[in-house]
Amino acid sequence: MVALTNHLLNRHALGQADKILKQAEISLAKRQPGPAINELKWLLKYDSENEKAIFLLGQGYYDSKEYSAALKQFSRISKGSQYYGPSLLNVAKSCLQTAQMEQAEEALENYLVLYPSALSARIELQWLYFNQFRIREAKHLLRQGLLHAENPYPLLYHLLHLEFKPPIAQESIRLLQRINQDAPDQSSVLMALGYCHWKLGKTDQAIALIEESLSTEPFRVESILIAADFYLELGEKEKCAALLKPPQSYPAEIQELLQQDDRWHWIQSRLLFQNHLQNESLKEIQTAIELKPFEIKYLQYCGTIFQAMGQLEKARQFFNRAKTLSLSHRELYKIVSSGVLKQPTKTDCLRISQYCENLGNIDQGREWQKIAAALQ
Amino acid sequence: MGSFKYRFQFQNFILIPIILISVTGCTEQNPPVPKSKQSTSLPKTTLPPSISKNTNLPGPFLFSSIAKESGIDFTYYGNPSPQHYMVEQNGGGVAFLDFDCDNQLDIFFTNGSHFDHPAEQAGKIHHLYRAASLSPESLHYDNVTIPAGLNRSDFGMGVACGDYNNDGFVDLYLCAFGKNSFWENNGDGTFSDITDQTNTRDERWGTSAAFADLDGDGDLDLYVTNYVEYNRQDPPCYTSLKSQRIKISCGPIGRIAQPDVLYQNLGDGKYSNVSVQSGIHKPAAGKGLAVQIVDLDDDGLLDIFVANDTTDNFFFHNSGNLTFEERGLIQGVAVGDDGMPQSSMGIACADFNRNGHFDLLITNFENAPNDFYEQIDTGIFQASNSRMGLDTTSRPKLSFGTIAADFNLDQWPDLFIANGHIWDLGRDKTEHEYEMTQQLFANQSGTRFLDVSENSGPYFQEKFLGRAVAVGDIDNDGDADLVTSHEMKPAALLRNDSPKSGKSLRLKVIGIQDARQPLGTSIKVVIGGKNQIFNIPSGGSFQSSHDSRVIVPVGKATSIDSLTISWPGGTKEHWKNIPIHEELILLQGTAEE
Repeated sequence: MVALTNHLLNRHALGQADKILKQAEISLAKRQPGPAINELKWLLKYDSENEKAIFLLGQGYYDSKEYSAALKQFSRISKGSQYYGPSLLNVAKSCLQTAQMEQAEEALENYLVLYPSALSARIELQWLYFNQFRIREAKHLLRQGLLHAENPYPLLYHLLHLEFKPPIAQESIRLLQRINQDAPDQSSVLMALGYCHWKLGKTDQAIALIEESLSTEPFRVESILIAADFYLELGEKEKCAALLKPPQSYPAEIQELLQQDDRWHWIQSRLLFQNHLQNESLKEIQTAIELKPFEIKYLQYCGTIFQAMGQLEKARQFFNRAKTLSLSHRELYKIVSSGVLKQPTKTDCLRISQYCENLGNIDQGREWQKIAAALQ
Repeated sequence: MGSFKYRFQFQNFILIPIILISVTGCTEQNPPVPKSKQSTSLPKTTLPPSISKNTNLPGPFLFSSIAKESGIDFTYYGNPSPQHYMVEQNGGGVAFLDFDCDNQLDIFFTNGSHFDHPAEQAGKIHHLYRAASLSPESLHYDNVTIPAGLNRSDFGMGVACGDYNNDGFVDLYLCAFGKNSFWENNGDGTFSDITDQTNTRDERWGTSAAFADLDGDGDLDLYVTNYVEYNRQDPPCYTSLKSQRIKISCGPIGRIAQPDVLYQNLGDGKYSNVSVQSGIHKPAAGKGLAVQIVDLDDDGLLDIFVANDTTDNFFFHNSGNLTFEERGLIQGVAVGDDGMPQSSMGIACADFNRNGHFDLLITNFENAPNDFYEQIDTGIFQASNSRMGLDTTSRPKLSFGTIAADFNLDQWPDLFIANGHIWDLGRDKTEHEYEMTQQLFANQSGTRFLDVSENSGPYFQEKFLGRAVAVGDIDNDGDADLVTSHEMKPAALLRNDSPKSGKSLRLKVIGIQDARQPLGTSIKVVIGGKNQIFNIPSGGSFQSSHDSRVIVPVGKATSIDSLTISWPGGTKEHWKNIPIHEELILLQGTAEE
C-alpha cells in the first residue's frame, strides 16, 4: 500500500516538476527563497536526480544564507549536467562564504577551464590569490585572461594594481585569522597567515603556522618556496637547504616544478652566497635570470655577486640594467598611485604600454596599446 | 561571518688632565654661562605597571629614561595636525654639543611650527639645555634658550654642530622648512645669528646638515641636504584602506626633489655655495633626509653619503679639490637589495664586522627592510640586511634616526633605531602601528644582529613617534647615551646603564693645522691585535648631531697598541702604546713617529 502511494506521488511529482521548477524560479527571482526551498525539497524527494531542482534548491539555500546547505546541493551536480558550469561558480561562492578557500579555489579554476572568458570568475579567483599573498599566481591568472578577454581593461587594471599595490600583512592578517578560525587546517591559508606573521616580525607564530601548513601539504610548491625564504632570512640555513633539497627527494613532478621556478634558484643562490660559494651562487642567479630576465632584484643580486667576486665591470653592467628597469618600474608606480587608471587618456595608455614593454610585459604592453588605439 | 571577498587597496699622544691643556676655546677656563631662571628637581618618573613589568629580565643593554628628573622637558610642537601637512612628518632635530666647553654635553632641540597655529604665536621656540651638574647618579640640565639668544621659532628640522671658525666654541646650523639659520657661538654662552653674513641662507626644505673639512684647508665646510618642493596650498593626499578613503600627509613620490647645497668655508667668516662646481649637482636632485660625512672608501678624503627618500642614495666620492663624483649605484649603496630606490631616512655608520671598512645601516619605510650595506672590500658594498638578521625585525617598522654605538663595550658596534609611522592607519582595524616601539640590536660578533629591545628598559616598552636621535656620553662614564626627539610625546634622555664587557677610553681630537674640530675624521685603533675603526661623527642618524668625542672600547687592555688619525688635510698621524685612561685629548702634531 505504501509502495503504491509512493508510486502515485512520484508520478504526480514528476508531472508537476516543470510547474514546481518554474514556480521556484519565480520565487527566487522575487527573493523569496523559503517557498522555493519547500517546493524543491518536495520535488527532490520523488525526483532526486532532477539537477535543475538541485541547482535551484542550492540557489534557494544560498539566498537564505544557508551556505553549507547550498554547497551541498551545488556539489551534487554531475559533470555532464548543463548546470555543472554554473554550479561550479555557485560552489565557489558558497565556499567563499563558509571560508573554505581551497575548495573555492578549485571550483573557480575548474569553472575557468570551462569558461575561460568568464571575467568575473577570473577576477574573483584573482582576489582569492591576492588575499593569500599569492601574487605570482594572480598575475598568471590575469595574463591568461588576456588571451580570452573581450575587454582586457579590468585585467590590465588588476595586473598593475597587483604589481604596485600588493597585499600588506598589516591589512590582511585579520581576514586570514577569521578564515582560519572558521575553516581551520587549510594549507594555503595557514601559509598565508604564517607569511603575515613573518612580515610583521612575529617569528614564533610564523614558524608554527608555516610548519603546520607544510605538514598539511608538504609538496605544495608555493609553501616550500615561502618556507625556504623564511628560514633563510631567519639565518636557519640548514632548514632552508633541507626545504630546497630534502634528504628524501620531493616527488619527481614537484622536483621538476621547483627546478623550473626562478624563485627556487634565487633562494638557492642566496643560500650558496651565504655559505661563501660564490661561483655556485652566481650560477643559480643566472639560471633565475634566464627564467625571468626582467626581474630587477635578480639583476641587482647578480651585480652584487659579481662585485663580491671582484668583477666590477660585470657588476656595473647588471646594476645599470637593474637601474634602467627600475626607472620604468618607478614611472609605472607613479601612474598607478596617481589614480589615472580609473580613466586613462590615450597618452596614459601609451606611456603604460611603453613601460610595460620595457619591463618585459609584452602582452600587457600590447593590450594597453590596443586600448590607446581605441581611444582615438 | 560576512563575505570573505575583501578588496585590499591597497693619539706621542698627549695625556694630560683636561684643565692643564692650554689652547684656546673649549680647553680654556669655562666661560661664564647664563644660568637658567629655574633649577627644577623633579621626582623620578614612575611607570605604569604594564610598562615596568618586564624590566627585571636580563638583557645585554639597559637604558634608563631620565629626561624628566634631569630637567629636560621638551616636547616638539609641530606635531601632526588634522590637516595632515607634509611638513609635519619629520619632527624636530636634536644635538649633543658642549657649547660652554665644560666637558659636559649640552642638548639642543629644534622645534617645529604649524601653518595654522605658527610657533611664534604659540610661543614655541627651540630649546637649549645646559648641563648644570654632572655625576653618574645626578644629571641636571637648565633651559638656557632665552639667555643664549636662541629663542627663535621656525619650522625646524635637523641641526648640525661644528666649530666653523676654529675658535674652540661649537656653532649651530639649523635646517628648516624655509630659511635655514646659522648661529655663531660667542663663547660667552650666547649665540649670534650669522646666517646672512655667512651666505648660508638656503630657503628650501632643509632636513639634515653636516660640517666637515671637505677640502682639507683647515676649516669646516657645510653640506645641507634638502627634501622636496612643498607648500601649504598643495592639495592633500589620500590613501584607501578597507575601501575607505583616508586623508594622509603626502609622500615624496611625484614631488620635485630639491637639490642639496655644499658650502665651502672661505676661512674669512663667509661661505661660498660651490654646489655646482663641486659636482654634487651632477646627479638629478635627491629627496634628502640625512647626510653623513666620512671617509667611506679609506682613501684619506672625506666622502659624503646622503640618504634620499624614494630616490637613489648618493655616495659622493671625494676626488680632491672639493670635487665629488657620485658613485652610489656602482658601489652598491644607491638602492635596496631589490634594485629599487628605498625610502631612506637615517644613517648609522660603523665597522660592524671589524673587517677594517665602514659599513652603513640605512633606515627605511614600513614594509621595507632597513638596508645594511656591508663594505666587503674598499669601496665595495653589498646589501646584507637579510644575512645580518635585520630584515624580519625592521620590516614592520617605519624607521628614522639610527645610531651605531658599542653600548656594552664588547668592541662590537650595536644599533639603536627610532621608529614611528607618519600616518595613523591603525585605527581602522588593521595591524599598522602609528606609535612604535624603539629598537636596540646587539651585535653578535659581527655576524648578525639580535633584537634585544624588549629587555633593555622601560623606554623600550613604550611606543613613540620616534624621529631624531643623537648619541653622546652625557655622564662621562665612558659609554654611549642617547637623546631622542619624538613627535607628540616629550623627548627622552636615555642613560646607558648596561652591564659592560670592558672598559673604554673617551677620545677628544683637536686639529691644529687641520680644522680644530676634525669632524668626519677616521681613527684606527689596534688593541691586543684587534683592529677597530671609528669616525668623529659628522652628521648621521636623522636630523641630528652627536658628541664629537669618540668612545673607544678597550676591553680589559691597559694600553692601546697603536692609534692612527687620518686628518682631513690628507696627512696621517700615528701614536703608539697609549695607556688607558678615562679620557684622552689628542692634539694634532703630538705623535712621536
